Amino acid sequence: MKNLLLSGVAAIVLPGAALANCPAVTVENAQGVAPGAFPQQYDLAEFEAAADCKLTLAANPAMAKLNARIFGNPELPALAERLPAEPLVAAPYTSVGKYGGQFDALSNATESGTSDFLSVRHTSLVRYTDDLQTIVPHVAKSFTWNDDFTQLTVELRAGHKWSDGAAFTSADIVFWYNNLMMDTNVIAEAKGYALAGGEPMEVVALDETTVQFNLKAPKPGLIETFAAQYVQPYQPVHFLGQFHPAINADADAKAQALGYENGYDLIKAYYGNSDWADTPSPMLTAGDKLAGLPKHATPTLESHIVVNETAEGRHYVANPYFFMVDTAGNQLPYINELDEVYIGDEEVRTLKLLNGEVDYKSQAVNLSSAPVLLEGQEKGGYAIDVRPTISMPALGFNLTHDNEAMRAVFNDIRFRTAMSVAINRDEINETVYFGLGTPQQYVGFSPLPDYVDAKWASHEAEFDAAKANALLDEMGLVDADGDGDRDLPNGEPFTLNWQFATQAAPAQLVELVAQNWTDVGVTTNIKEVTSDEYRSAQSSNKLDVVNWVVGQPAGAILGDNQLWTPPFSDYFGARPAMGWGEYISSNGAEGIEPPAWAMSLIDDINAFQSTQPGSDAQKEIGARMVETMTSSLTFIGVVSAPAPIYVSTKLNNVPQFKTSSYEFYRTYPYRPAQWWLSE
Amino acid sequence: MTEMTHTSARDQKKKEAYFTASQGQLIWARFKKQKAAMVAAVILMALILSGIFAPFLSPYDPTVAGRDKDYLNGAPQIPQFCDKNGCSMRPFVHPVTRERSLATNFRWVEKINDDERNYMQFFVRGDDYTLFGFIPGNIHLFGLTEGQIHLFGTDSAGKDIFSRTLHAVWTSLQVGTMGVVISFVLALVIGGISGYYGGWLDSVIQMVTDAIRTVPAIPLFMAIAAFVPPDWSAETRFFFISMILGLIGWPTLARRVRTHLLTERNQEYVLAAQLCGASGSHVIRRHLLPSFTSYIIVDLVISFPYMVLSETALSFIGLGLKDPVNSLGVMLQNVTKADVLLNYHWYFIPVIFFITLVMAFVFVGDGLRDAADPYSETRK
Amino acid sequence: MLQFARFAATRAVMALITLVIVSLVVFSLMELVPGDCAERYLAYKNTQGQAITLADIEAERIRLGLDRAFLTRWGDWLVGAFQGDFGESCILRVNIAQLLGSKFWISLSICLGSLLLAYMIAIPVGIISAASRNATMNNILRVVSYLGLAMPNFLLALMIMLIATVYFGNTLTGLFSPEYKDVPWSWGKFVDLVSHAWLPVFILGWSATAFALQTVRALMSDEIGKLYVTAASARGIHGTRLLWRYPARHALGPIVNSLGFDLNRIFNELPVVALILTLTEAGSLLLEALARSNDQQLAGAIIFLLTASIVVLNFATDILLAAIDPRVRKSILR
Repeated sequence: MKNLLLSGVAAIVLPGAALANCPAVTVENAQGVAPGAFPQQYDLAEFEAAADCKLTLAANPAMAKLNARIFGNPELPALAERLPAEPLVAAPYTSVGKYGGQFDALSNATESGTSDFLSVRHTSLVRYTDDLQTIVPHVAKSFTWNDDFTQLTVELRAGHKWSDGAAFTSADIVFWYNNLMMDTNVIAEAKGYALAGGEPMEVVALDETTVQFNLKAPKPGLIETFAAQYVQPYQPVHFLGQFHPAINADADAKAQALGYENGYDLIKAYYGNSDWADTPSPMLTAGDKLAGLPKHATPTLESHIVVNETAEGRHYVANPYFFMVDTAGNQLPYINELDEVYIGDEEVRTLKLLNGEVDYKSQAVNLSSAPVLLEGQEKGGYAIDVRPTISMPALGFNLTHDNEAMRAVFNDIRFRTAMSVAINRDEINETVYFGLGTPQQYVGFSPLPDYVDAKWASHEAEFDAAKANALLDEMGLVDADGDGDRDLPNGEPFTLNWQFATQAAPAQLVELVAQNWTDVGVTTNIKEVTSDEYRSAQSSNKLDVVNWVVGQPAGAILGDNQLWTPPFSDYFGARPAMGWGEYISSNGAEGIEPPAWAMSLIDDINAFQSTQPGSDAQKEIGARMVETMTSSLTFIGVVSAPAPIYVSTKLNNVPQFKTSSYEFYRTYPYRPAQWWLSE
Repeated sequence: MTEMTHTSARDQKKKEAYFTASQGQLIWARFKKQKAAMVAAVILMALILSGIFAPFLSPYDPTVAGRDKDYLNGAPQIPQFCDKNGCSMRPFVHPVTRERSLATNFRWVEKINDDERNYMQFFVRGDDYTLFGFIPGNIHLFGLTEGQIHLFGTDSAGKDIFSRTLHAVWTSLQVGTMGVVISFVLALVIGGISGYYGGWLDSVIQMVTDAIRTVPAIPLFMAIAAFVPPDWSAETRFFFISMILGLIGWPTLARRVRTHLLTERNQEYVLAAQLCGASGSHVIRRHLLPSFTSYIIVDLVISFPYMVLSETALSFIGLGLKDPVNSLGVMLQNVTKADVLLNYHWYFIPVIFFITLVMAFVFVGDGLRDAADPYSETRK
Repeated sequence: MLQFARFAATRAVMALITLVIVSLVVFSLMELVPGDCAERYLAYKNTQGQAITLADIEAERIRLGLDRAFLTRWGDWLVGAFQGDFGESCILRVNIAQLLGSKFWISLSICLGSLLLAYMIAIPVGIISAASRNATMNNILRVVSYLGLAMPNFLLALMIMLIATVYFGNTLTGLFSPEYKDVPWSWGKFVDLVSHAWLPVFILGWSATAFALQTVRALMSDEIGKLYVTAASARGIHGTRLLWRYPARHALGPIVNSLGFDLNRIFNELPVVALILTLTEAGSLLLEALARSNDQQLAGAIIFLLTASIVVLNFATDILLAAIDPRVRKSILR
């Protein structure tokens, strides 16, 4: 009897022992398991092979309750049916997490100041790893380019499901592109990131799990877009498709039955008119119609889905069909619920941060609040880390100014050089940024790639008032009437009127720079205006001095050429050359002809965007671009300042961020799905 | 016998003085008797004078040109006469060295150098300024032989708060006056006409008044701000805005005037004046309005600080004056940061000035009202 | 009687015209401000990383219907407004009537509460202050009330919030506790509201008190000096009875008259206080709509509702005054 029992037990235990449970590999402690093809993550088969084990999957015990809160979701099936056949196995940074908790976040308003929090639950085909240089698969299982960057093939995961249990296939990607992005009834004009060489792409579903993007012109930046932008290039065709008039004959009838004008109207209620994921859901917009709707929010692949939305905030629960697990087999995310509150006033947000009512925030936390936040760390139960940023305050002069005399002065490189060396950057760094920033010149690429000579970062960035004075004298900007200030060559007094918005640079920085310039004889009057007034004045070409925060990483420049072609920014940035921009967009009919160096820069950026990333050809072009841009001093950089990142002490598995920036989509490289809250 | 005539001669003189005194003299006599109002009036005069002579009284230039790079966010420095090394006739302060870093949470850590003294001097030559905009000068009331003294501390750029406060008082006074004067005149004229004539004219004017009065200040200011030419200086822009404040401020008083007139114009003295052939405007000006003097004065004096308050609230939202222009409203803006409220309490000193200014105005207004009331003698 | 009815009717028509004029004025003002809804909405997105072109902005404008002529937009909106349909907020993309819902009534109650508080304090204190000979008490009362005027209320709100946060660990924000936020109205919810609303009512009421106090005191002082009061006092009536029966009733006339505008002034101060205390009701929404997002529809709707309340209040007080004060009645009906 005892023998029978013992052997019975042995029979049960032994097979398990033959294929042991997988070690809980973390980034800190790999426990001897070799890394996979991509850092910090594995495909299931890859992991089991590397660790020689069988991964037993475990689910969140509260998942049934959470699933019940998602309106329109079927009853919760077993975990094996919710995960794809090959889930993404993520190695947590320090520890395997515990399920539970509510993550509290702050945004400014429904669609403002939200990217921080959006990134916490964001998914896309691929993502940047935390070194901000490598792109690894995420929702996609793998991706391959052809030789000349005109064809991108993406493999998806078999069995991957939407948050309502329906299958996620390549048809969803095709639907997103052909029926949402390219349908002018939904998105009035296709966005730049969805086009290649200005032309639409051809998105084809080769089979259920393979999709191919065919481009009319090479665009290596496409994968960059998927890694660092807010766009999620897939939408549920099983749900939205039924209301889409182009693919369903009775879409309009169905929509009208639910109280909407037509199918497009209903799609608008769910998807909005852009790829932003913070569009208000029907819970906020539908009113009485909400009761009759089949779902309260569009199904998603993100780690959490919204279950309640008011004008004061949103509430989310974990997605029962999320495709990631950790190395111990637990389905991610660990955190059960997310709660987002809107607060419009910065001081009140700071008070909430001081009080420890928020678990993570980096967007809109300014360096000027650092002292008070640093002091309150212990009491509030959070930690502050000051990290570098990507864009920095930079100024420029209106190179296409209406006044001919002013324009001549601004276009003289000696003037721009003088103004650049007249700025005492060290003092500004001390006073405004607590000495934490790095005084530097604007070089276009931020951070500066290593194939570019580092000397450009300090080009004409030293403080030399004597040199400034000498250059200005040489130009003919001397004090003709003896009042102590310089005058134009034609005798008129020379003053700079500088309108600035605090969104661009702190008022103190502007004050100090203006004082520096006044000290070399260039009287500068500053006036604070709202961001709208600034943009409006800039658009009407009324500004003398432009300034905003400028700078992009190399990856973004692959996809966006606006910082390198006149007027040198998009609508909302600093545009020092409105007239040149007009000339180019009107093909020479209006505006002012740009000089040769600006035209060569346009050629260079186009070449840069179509050459193979990492190749010597591209590096050469990049270096040339930096040389042209920096030596032209179109933008004069001041100080590159860091920003604080706020993380609650209860939040675990949060690594040190390399930068505090949205250019890499904030927390997305740091895998927030594996963050967890301790009690 | 002579005793009596002497006394009655004096009494007689007093009586004569009383009965031949003009209204102004009577008001002044009554005003002097109220202690609270007199105290307030003295304070008010002191503030006004310190505002007018601000460039002379303040030791440094209030703009960023006069900043002290070595004393950012510094606490107030009170001059002493005695220290551990003995006493001196001339007041002095001890120099300090400061440093900050991430380790100190970017708070300045100070070390006072007890052994050195920086003596104060009076009537020193310092930064240039222009008094009233056209009298140049560079003599300041006080300063230090070496280094700088900050009686009210400094802000985060190192600007001396004492200097800024005095200049700010002057800016706020100028700006408030203009708005008040404009709204006052308009209110009297329009309210007077409306109340005196009554009937349909009254109805129409009331409707227009109501409409203007209900328009909230915020969209109005945003639109105005859009119209202001960009090359106007920040101060000019604010004078323009305060003019607008005046233009929308008249309805309140106008309505009160009109109501009062509606009731008063049926009084007998009005009838008498009309029977004498007085014109409408004469009756309004010389008979009806003086009966209303008390709350006209009250309103005038109260609307003054209200103008400054409106400007402050607008600046808070981002529509009014901002740094680097100096007004009490701008300085109040800087106080609203959590960091300041917790750590840099000396930023509050302009707030105290502001509150004192408002209270002084209000008490003076009350005092004037009591003094102007011809019946107050019979009661008090 | 007929004359009175005619007077009332005229006033009513005037009130309506006022409403229309104010809405036109507000709409035009917002038109003049640089940066319309489309631009501001896209500006949010730009700060989050999206590069925006002029074409994007134009497309957004057309989508929001902002490219139609001004008068068309205003006309459409006005017609809807009188029916209670204010269209959609262009920034929040929500039906405005729904968004405002009970919010407007809550804001209005807070303002009326402050007004009530203000006059409840100002009237007795003003009367006493005007009549009393006790200089010290007089001065103390006045100092306390005028402090409410001198201290800007957003500063006061911020200081109170700060003290509460730092010393009591409780940020005192919001109008409802989490458990009462989204549930339908009940006695419990009402009590919860009152327990949170005392703070804004106190802050707004304190500054309104000063203004009211000044006025009451001034009016009372005037009236007390009048002959009829002396006559009554000679007849042997004194003390509170004297004060209440004679000068007070006359002095209160102008006060009743200006109630509507006091409400307006308080409502103008509410947004900033609401912003600080995150009282997400119509007040802070108005500020967002006007100053931050230039949301014409939402701002227009809130201001329209407010103007309607003020106009109704003014109308009511006018009628009331004409009814109870024979002097006014005589003038009006001349």
